[in-house]
Amino acid sequence: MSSSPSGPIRKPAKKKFFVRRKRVCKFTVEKIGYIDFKDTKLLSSFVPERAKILPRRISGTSAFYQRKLAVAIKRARYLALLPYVAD
Amino acid sequence: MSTPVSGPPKRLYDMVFLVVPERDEQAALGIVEEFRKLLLEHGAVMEKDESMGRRRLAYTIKKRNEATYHNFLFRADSKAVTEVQRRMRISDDILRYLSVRIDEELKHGAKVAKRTKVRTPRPSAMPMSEPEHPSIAEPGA
Repeated sequence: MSSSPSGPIRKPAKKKFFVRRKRVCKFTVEKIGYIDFKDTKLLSSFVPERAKILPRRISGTSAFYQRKLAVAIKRARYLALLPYVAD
Repeated sequence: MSTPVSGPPKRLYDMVFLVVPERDEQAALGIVEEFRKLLLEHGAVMEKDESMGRRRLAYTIKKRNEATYHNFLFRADSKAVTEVQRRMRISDDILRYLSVRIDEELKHGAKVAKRTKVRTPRPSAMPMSEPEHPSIAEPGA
């Protein structure tokens, strides 16, 4: 439980403090009405390494667009544009 | 309910299909042409018709690791789509196909996009003010 003596000296953790970036819904901001399932570039930014759909508590996507996004990702998966599982 | 349709068909379909890799790009074009003709015969109006090229598959389908993708965006009646889907199912050259009716999705999406306002985040918002799981707080306490 003690701090390592060899590593860089850390300040005693007084406060739990980390800057949380303000998340905004990309689709709301850019006024994207329809999420295209062929747009692999866009979709893959919501599918991290382990190939799961990024939860909206992390991405900040609004509920409406999260639903659309999920459908688009699933369509892309069927066409083997995106993986179902990470390999 | 078979009302004789006058004028162009209204339903907009987005169709993507995968041609087996054994067929090279030239042969794939011929297969695409076959389905294009079939669609047009059934009164479809093409809005977009483009090859998405040869791609690696994200996972293996029927022991294939790549395929030639093609995309049709067209207006047609459901009968035309059913027929094309039937042919694709039978064909050995088609690895996979997906057709989605998108006119209403587009319409609804455009409506929502127009209606939603972008809220600028409050500058004074505390970074830690959002509890991760507010609903887990003991209800019986």
